[in-house]
Amino acid sequence: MRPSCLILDDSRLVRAVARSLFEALGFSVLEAEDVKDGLLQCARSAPDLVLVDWNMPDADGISFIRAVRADASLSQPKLLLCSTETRLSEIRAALRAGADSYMLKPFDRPKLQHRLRRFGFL
Amino acid sequence: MSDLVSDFVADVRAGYQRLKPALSRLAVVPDDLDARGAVFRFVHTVHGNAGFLNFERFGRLASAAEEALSQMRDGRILDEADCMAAVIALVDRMEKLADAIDAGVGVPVHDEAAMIARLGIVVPEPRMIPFSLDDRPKEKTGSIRLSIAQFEQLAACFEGVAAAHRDMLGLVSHHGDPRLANALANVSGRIASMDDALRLAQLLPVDKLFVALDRIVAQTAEALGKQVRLVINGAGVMVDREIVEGLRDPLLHLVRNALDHGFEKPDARAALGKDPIGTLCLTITVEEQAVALCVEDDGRGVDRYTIVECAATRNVHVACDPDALSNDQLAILITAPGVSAARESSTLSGRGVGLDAVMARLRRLYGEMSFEDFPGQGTRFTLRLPLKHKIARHISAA
Repeated sequence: MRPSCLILDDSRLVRAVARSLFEALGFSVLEAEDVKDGLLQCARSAPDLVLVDWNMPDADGISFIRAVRADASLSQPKLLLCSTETRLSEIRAALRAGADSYMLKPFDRPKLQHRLRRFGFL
Repeated sequence: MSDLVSDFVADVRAGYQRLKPALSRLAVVPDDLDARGAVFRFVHTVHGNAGFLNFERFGRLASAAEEALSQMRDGRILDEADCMAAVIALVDRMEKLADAIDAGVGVPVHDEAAMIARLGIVVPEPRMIPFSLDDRPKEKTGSIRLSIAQFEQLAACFEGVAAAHRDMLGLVSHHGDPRLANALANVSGRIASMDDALRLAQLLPVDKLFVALDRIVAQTAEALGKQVRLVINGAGVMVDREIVEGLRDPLLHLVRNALDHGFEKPDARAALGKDPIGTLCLTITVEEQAVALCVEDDGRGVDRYTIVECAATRNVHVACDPDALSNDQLAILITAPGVSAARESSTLSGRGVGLDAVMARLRRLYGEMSFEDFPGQGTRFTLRLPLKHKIARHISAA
C-alpha cells in the first residue's frame, strides 16, 4: 500500500514541485490550497502525512496543526511544516503545536528524503 | 519546467491582485497590522518559491521585503513609513517582473539594488535550491591543478594502456576463448571512455583566447587616437587547450596590426563617409576539421605600395602593378620576414616582425592563414588550426 500525502499550500508552484517529489518517492498525492479544504481532506482521505505551509489565505499552518491534533476523530497524520520562516521561536511554536518536523523552503529531494526517512516512510 | 514557471508567475500575479487593498491601505496607514500581515505572507511565499526556480532576482526582492517587514514587526525600524514605502515599491516590482515574464519581455535590473538599499537594513541572501527530480549527486565544481607535464604523463600512460589493449585484441581474435573476448570487449569500452575523458580534460572554453582583449583594444586605440569597437562572435565554444594557447599570440599580433595600420583616425573615417568608430570583429568557428579564427577590420585595407617597396628592400620583387596583386600574392608579401606596411615603426608593430611570427607560430601547429584585402574597406585574416581531437568537433557550449 503506497503511503499518501496531502500537500497543503496556497501556491500552485509549491504544490507542483512537492507533487513531483512525493510521486517520485512513491507517494500517492492529494492537494489542498487552504486550511478549510485541508481539514476536509484529512477527514475524508486520512493521509499518512501532511506537508503544511505556514501562510495560507484563510489561516496559518499552526492553526491547521492545532485543529488536526485536537480532533480525535481524525487519523493522526505526520505533520511536516514547511515554510521560509527562519525564526527559532516560530519554529518552536509550530513543533509545540504538534508538528512532527519542520522544513525550510525551498527544499529539494535530499532534504525531503531525510525527513521522510526519519518518519519511517522510506 | 516551463509549467512551473507559469505556476510561479500565476501565483505572483494572483497574490498581488489579492494584495492590492492592503497595499493601498499601507500607503496611507503604514502601521496597519492586518495589511502588513498580508504583505508579509505574499513576499514570504514569493521568497520561498523563487528559490525552487532559481529566480534570484525575485528572491532578492522578496527576501529583502520579508526581512524589512519582520524587523518592523519586532519594532527594530525607526522610520516605518519610509521603510514601508520601500517595501511597497519592491512588491510592485515583483508584479512588474511577473507581468514581464508572462509577456516575454525584460525589465531593467539596474535600480533594484537601490530599491533594496532604501529599506535601510541589512538584507540576507535569498535561499536558492532549484527544483530537480534528479537525485544524482550535484555536479562537482571546483578544480584540481595539474601541471601540463603531469597531465602529459597521464596521457602517455593511457596511450600505453591503449596500445597494449590493441595487441591483446589481436591475440584474442586469433586464439580466442569467447569468455576472454567478452572480458576484453568490456575493457575496450572503458578505454574508449577514458580516451574521451582525457580529451575533454584538454578542452578549454575559447573565451580564454579573448581574455583582457577589450582592455587591450581600448587602451591601444586610445594611445593611437583612434576609436574602435570590439565585436566577438563564437564565445563559449570548447576547443583544445593547444589551440587556445596557439592562437593567442597570433591574435594579439593581428589585433595590434589592425589597430596600428588598419583603422583610420575618426576624422579621416568621417571624411570618407565611414562610421568614425571602427569595428574590429573576431569570430571563432569550429569547422569539420579545424578551428577558424577570423579577424576583420573595417579600416583602409593594406597599403600595397608600401608593402611592395618594403618587400623590394628585402629582395622580394614583385613584377606587377601593386593594385593588381591578388590576395594570395599579398599574403606572401606581408608574411615575408621583415616586411611591414608601416611607414615608420611604432612601439606597437611596424617592425616587420608581426606576421612572419604569426606564420611561424601557426606552422608549428600545422595551421594556415588566409588573407583578404578590401581596399578602402578593410582586411580579413582567417587563421585555421586543425582539430587534433575528434571530440572538439562535437562539443560546443550550450
